[in-house]
Amino acid sequence: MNKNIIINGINDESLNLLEILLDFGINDVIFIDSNREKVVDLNTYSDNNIAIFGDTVSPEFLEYSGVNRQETDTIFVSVTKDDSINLISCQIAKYLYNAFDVISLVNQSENRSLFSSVGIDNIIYPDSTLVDKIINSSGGSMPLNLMDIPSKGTAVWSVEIPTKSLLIGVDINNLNIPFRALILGKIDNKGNPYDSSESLDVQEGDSLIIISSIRNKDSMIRFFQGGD
Amino acid sequence: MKVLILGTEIISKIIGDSILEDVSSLTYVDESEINYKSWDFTNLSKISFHKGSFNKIDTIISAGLESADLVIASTNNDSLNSFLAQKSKINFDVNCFIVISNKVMANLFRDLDFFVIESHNIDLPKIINRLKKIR
Repeated sequence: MNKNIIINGINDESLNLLEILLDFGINDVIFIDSNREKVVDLNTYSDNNIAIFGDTVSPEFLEYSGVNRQETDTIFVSVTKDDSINLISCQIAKYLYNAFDVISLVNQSENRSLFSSVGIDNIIYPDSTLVDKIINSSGGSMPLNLMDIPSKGTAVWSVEIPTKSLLIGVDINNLNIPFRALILGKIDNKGNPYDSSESLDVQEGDSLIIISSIRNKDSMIRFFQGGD
Repeated sequence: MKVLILGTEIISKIIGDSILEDVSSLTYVDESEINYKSWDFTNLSKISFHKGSFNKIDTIISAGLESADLVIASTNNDSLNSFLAQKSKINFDVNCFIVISNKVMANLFRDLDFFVIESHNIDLPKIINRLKKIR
């Protein structure tokens, strides 16, 4: 079935995003925003009228935008700077109109578990990759989100083992991780990959490749950083 | 019974007045105290005001969320009310009422197991009954 994409929130990257989607053959895309000026600007710079102005948390406006259009699967994306608008518009799209998929930006880290808890678990973060990379470069051990598993609230993570970790020397299969997680293997500090079925000791600088819930990110930091 | 009312709209005052007898404390929370200061209350000893931004959960926590028995989200914004109520309920397991003006949205949140007060059709006896059940 054809897909129609509704993107709630216009920003400086909207035109670039549209071009990327068009390159992938995704051409049924509209933007919606409650800021009239942004809508007018985007329509001015694009070839077609691709943006609609309205109250993006109004069910009636979302209907008008095509959230429940027949004979297409709607993918609803909310990327405004306001987490309440992102959450509620996604909930309306998902639970009222049975959108095929919903994707949301979560701006504030304190709201991440809330989105997952109410079933909006296909989420993106504005700065997580940058922040994580800076912290990792500074000697910390922030789990790096390699890939979200769509609609599951789960992700594939890379966790670098820091110098002070108490896990160094422990067999990878004997790690008593206090939350549900699957260790796929490790990559040593020379870049060599190892499967977790082998008997492997954790070494400083190893990167463990793990599948676990996004909710467990803080637990992962505590476990691998401190080795508790 | 400790109650937080998020927002100082006219409906916040109406609800506060109607439940005041049945609660031990009532704290209004808002980003501005202009409306609150203009109100008259019969029992000031039970009522207080906490100022802060709704963008941070810390505002509601410092207003007493962790010890509250009920949160009533009644700003003038349906999506903010729904957001704050879900945040309070999920993070702190507290009972929540949501004030919503949009009928379709009101039905959606009823389906999601929230007690919804429709701002255009306030049923005060129903609110008080629900409050007594919580108590």
